[in-house]
Amino acid sequence: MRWAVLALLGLSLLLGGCGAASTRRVDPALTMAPTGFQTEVNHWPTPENRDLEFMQVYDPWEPMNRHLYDFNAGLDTYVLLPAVNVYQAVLPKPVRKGLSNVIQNLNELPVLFNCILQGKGEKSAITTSRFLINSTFGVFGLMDVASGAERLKVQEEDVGQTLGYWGMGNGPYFVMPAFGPSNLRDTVGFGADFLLLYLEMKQVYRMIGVKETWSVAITEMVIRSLNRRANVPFRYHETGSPFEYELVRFVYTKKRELDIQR
Amino acid sequence: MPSFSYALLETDNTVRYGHCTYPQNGKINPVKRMRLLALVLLAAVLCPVVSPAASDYRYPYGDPYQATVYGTPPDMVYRTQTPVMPKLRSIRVDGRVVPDIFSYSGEMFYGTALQKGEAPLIFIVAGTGAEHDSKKMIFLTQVFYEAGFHVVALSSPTHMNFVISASQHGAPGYVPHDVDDLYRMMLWIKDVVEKERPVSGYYVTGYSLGAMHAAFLARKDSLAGDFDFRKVLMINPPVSLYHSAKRLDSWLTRENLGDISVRDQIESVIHRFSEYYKNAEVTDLDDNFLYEMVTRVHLDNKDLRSLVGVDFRLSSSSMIFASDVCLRAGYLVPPADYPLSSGRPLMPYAEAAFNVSFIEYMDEFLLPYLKFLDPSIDRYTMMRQCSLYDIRSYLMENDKVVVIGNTDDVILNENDLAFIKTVFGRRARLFPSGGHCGNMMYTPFVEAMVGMVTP
Repeated sequence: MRWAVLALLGLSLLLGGCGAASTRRVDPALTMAPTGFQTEVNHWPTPENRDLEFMQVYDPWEPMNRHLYDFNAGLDTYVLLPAVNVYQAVLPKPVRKGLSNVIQNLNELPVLFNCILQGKGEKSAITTSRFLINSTFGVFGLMDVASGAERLKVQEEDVGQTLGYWGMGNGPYFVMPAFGPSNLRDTVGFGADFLLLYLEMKQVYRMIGVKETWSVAITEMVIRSLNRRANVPFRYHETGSPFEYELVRFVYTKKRELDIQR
Repeated sequence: MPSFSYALLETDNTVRYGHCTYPQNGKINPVKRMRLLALVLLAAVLCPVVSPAASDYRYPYGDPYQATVYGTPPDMVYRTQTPVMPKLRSIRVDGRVVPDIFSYSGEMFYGTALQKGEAPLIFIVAGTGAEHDSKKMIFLTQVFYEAGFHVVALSSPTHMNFVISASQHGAPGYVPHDVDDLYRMMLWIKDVVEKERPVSGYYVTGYSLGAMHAAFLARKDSLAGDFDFRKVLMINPPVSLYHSAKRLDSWLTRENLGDISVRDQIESVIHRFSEYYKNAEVTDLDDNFLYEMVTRVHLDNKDLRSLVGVDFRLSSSSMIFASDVCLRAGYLVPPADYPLSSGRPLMPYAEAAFNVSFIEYMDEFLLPYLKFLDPSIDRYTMMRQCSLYDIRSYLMENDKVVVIGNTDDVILNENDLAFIKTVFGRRARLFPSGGHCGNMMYTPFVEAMVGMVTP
């Protein structure tokens, strides 16, 4: 198993590089050498201009965050996406779907935990039903039969939302290395969710009698990461906007705010 | 009121029955009303006979602003049998100066979908601010690939990636320069593709501003003779970039919003979407959900226009900022702020850029820059060169140039529509509804579009 993971990583690095097939051209007319041109009229930033104030997010660590954003974009382009490509090439779609379902089924328990902590009865009931149905009729979660029912759609709750529900503010915006947009509260929540999963998986491993815990856990982590990336359509620098950092920051913050209220 | 309020008037004063529109006027005398009724009945009887193909045309949005914003309902979208995923490629110009904050955009990206054997090749040029792999571009790529073409998808010269990596002068929006840039890239791409696959002939198309580019590319090629395009398909073209931009700009001004500020308007729309999202059962933010959200939240025509205006403004502000930084022209960024490091907060510039209309950019940045490059140019010449009027006789004489669009396109005014009808005549296929590109993915539109380039 450990070898399979290493092979997968090696293969993805080999196939890595940039995704684009690139050609180089020379044209002296296209060097964009300075022209010396200056406009007479200007629209320089002024403190009074607040047309986009709704997009403002508390971000005292912005310079660091922006560098982390660039780092993540590079990691995504040169490591994660190539690895996802290999993952999708090596494993047939039904297998990936099965893995994705199993992971989602295992994630129901932390979700349930958070639903209960927020006192959300209906969501708790839905999540419990989903877990029971998919673990039995869905053969250990391989098939997501529960989602076939209109009222049993997957619920999303995490510790970050629970903390928000109980009144904790966002704190400063923070770009987590490798994991992307977050804020101080959600980063703490992210850690707590990780801990919950760790405790859950420890029990799962014991129940199914896994001996080589370390290598299985690493494999699980890799598959979880690949699965997560494969299911998120976001691509860096595809908004076509030089203000992508600001857009992503705003959308993330707004969505979390609404998710907490949901 | 200036002429670009035409579409406004049209929506207020007409009622639509299926694909035919009839004037509705409260103050008609009885005789006239009878005559009108007779006309209406006659028209209703004749319409299917006159245009048999249009009888299957049941695009759901008769309101051009709804059409433009809502697009095509997911269950009416044309589906290709086996959707091809375009291959990402790029061209890097050696020695080109790329500002630090744009280091990720140093090569010009484009997409290809090539047939296995010999095939004709079609270039597709994206609309204002759109990239080669925007939703519309992927869709067009798949449609033309299915129709048997090698497909090359190009970003608009107004997209920041094109400005940063491939534009000669760095200030987009002046059609002759943009077309020169596109043409140069297309020649290079032609080399790349011909080394891989046999190409039996060349075609060019584009939507929105890209359609105007396609026409000018064909005209340029008629003099240079590199591609000898067999067909040139313009999808929802503007007639005058200046007029269309002015219209789009106007939707973020008093003229549309009245006493509401742009900021309050945007916040109000975001608030409505937020409320919808909060109460929705869904967890997947896919296209279906977005479509449902946009169509179910109450938006009146003012809101819809402001959304189109905001979308256009976001595109143009990205373009203007990219251009200003590449040229260090001091338009948005004070010279003292350079060098812009990659850790620099850009929000103040985003706000500054968002306040600049496209017309202001043309008058305050583009035109002075063009004069700096060539003192003989004037405002009138610039405007004319960015309109189809500039190549009117070429368009009239060349049967290979065809147009597909909608009579209720919100970026066209009465004169623009008349221009298209006069110049292209039977070579223009105009649908009665669809707004600006709203019906581009609707099956009858797609079939007509493909039919116009395949013999």
